[in-house]
Amino acid sequence: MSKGEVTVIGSGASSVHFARTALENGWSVVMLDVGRRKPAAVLPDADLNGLKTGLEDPARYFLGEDYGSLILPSDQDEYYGFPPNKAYIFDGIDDPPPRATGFKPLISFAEGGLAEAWTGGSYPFHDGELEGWPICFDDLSPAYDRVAQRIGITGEDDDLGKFYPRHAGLMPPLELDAHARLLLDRYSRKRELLNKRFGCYLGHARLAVLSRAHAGRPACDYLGRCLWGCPRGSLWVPSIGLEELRAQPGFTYVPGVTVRHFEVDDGGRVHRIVAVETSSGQERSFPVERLALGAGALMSAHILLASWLRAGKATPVLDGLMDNRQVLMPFVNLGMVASQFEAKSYQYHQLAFGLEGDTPFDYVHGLVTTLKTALIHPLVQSLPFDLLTSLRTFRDLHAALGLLNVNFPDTRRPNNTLSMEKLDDGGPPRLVVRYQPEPQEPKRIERVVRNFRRILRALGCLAPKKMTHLRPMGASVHYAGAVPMVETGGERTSTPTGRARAFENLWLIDGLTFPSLPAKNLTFTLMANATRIADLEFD
Amino acid sequence: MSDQEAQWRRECDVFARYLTGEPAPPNALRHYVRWHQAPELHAPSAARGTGFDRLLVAVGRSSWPGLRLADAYSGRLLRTGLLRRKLILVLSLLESTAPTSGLIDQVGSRTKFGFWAGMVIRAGWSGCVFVVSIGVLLPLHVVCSIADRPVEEELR
Ligand SMILES: Cc1cc2nc3c(=O)[nH]c(=O)nc-3n(C[C@H](O)[C@H](O)[C@H](O)COP(=O)(O)OP(=O)(O)OC[C@H]3O[C@@H](n4cnc5c(N)ncnc54)[C@H](O)[C@@H]3O)c2cc1C
Ligand code: SF4
Repeated sequence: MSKGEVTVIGSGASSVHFARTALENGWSVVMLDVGRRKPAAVLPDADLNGLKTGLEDPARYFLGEDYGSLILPSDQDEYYGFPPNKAYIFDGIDDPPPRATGFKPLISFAEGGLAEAWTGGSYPFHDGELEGWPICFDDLSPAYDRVAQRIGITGEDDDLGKFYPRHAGLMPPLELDAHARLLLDRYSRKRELLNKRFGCYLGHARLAVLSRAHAGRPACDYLGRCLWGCPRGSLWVPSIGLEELRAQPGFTYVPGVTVRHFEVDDGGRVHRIVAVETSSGQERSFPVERLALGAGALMSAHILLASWLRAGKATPVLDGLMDNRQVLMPFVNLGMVASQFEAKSYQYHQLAFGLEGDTPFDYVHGLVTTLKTALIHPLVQSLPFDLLTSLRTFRDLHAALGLLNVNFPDTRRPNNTLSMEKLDDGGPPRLVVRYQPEPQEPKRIERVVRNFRRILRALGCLAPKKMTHLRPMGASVHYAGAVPMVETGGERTSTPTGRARAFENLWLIDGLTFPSLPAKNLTFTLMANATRIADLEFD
Repeated sequence: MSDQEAQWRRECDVFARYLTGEPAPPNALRHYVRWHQAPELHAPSAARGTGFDRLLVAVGRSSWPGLRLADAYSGRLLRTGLLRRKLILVLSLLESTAPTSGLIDQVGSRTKFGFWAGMVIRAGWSGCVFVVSIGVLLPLHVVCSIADRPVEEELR
């Protein structure tokens, strides 16, 4: 018999692990979600070249019905765009999108959320990074173990082990491509210099990709299609978790509804959710006993703020929004020029850098992607020649190109806020996002980028200064903060077990409650934290 | 097939042979025409251009040497111009479609020495072609810009 019912909003990485844990603990779960569906995988056994030969209309598959993946000169803002078959992940809803200053928000209303497009990087936070949190690694450790065993994480206890605390369920790493092997080999020869002079370590990435069959999913077969979505399910995405949930008794999935706000009874308990049907705009309401908000940090804040606004509170403001600043450093590995790139390999980052900071929290996290099967026309056109010379040069350089994605930590600051504004048309209110980087940021970035340029040179790579690209805030899509978990605090905080202090039966299960944001990609910790909350509060 | 469509197909094929040495696959030809026929698929200015832009495209379409000169000129002096946009469109179609995708993915030089030697020769040759293209096309560019001006002013 069920211990009771909990309603979860969202089907992203946070929500599916919360729901699974609550179900395992004997609760029944109702999941409300906008839940846009992904298109079926085409030719699931074909590798990338197989798609180009086997599909009836390959140009449409790779460039999109509306040529959305065609990058023409002057369109260029980022080095790569999302492939057309992932466009559904970022399709909006009818409600007004956020108005943002100093921040480029990316929101997903897909079944599985943003991590349907993720690159699988799964890195646990250690105690130094959890400073300022009311919990420590030991509190998260069992949940890290549980999530890793559910999804399968590959990696190795190598030099980066000093930054990654141990967890169970680590599978052997994926096979590296020749470029990544060369970088690791050069690193092992220069290890002492790089460790001592720069506090720099290089090793295997930690990835939510299977190197052996696990939980009914096959091992990665090196199809090289990761960017277009792994058709085998070897790269874990939340929709895989959702499929597993749907097979469980006690789980009800309600897609096609956009939650607008919740209503509170006189006792301060959430008792009703107000939503609209995404297709018709018709209002629907759902009674709730317990509510777990996992709509992604921005949309969860939106729902929370809209509910406050409806309850007649003075225009509420949440502060402390965070995101990881990212700097992209394209590089050429001179040892790889005139080599053939390996199309049949895992396409995202295979290696990671760890750069020690002044304090453990200041650690800088670098992800190394060697270029393989992404569309090349955006890069070819950036070379300073005519197109024919650029193309011929590029073909020789292809296997030698790489991208270092440098991630910086962030902290909660009062200027970085989420609030609501009412619109004149009387429709639903709009989320307002404001972000300002800290004044010392440019200096810090400059120092780190300079060091990385030297590190890459020591590894035989050139990273042209002109091509280094500071991504706008919001682009890393590692959103957190705004309702931090603290031991004691006011109504805009949560307890260490994720319970919102403002409402007795509301739990915040996504990044909204993170009190600080280490440089490492946060999603493994999102999943572990949601699991921990479900375990402690829904035992 | 209309004259205009036939011209787009020919253009795509010439550009494909220029970039890969092979004819454009049918899938690329079809999309090249579709892109031109559907102005709602791109910014209004993307498929149009100035008088000189159209002249460069016509020169490029006419012959391999014409295209070599026009590409060299636009690669340095008109990087967002119409010819370059069309060439990049063709490149994106060729890389998405077999068998041309295989040619684009294939490494050209066999050795590192070959790469560096090839780089020097390619850069030098590309510089020479650019110089010639300036001699041939810059005067035309100036004339076209003067001729275009009254129309642009009217539009403004
Ligand atoms: C390209 C890309 C690469 C990334 N790579 C990595 C990586 O390698 N490692 C890493 O750690 N992280 C990565 N991330 C970040 C990661 O995807 C996010 O941290 C993670 O998805 C957040 O999960 P979430 O469940 O908290 O929220 P979301 O993924 O935002 O899920 C929100 C869910 O809520 C639903 N929803 C939203 N609003 C409503 C509403 N009003 N009513 C009903 N339902 C609603 C949505 O449909 C969705 O199901 C990447 C992100 C992107 C875009
Ligand atoms: S290489 Fe990528 S697409 Fe292919 S099986 Fe592995 S994870 Fe999936």
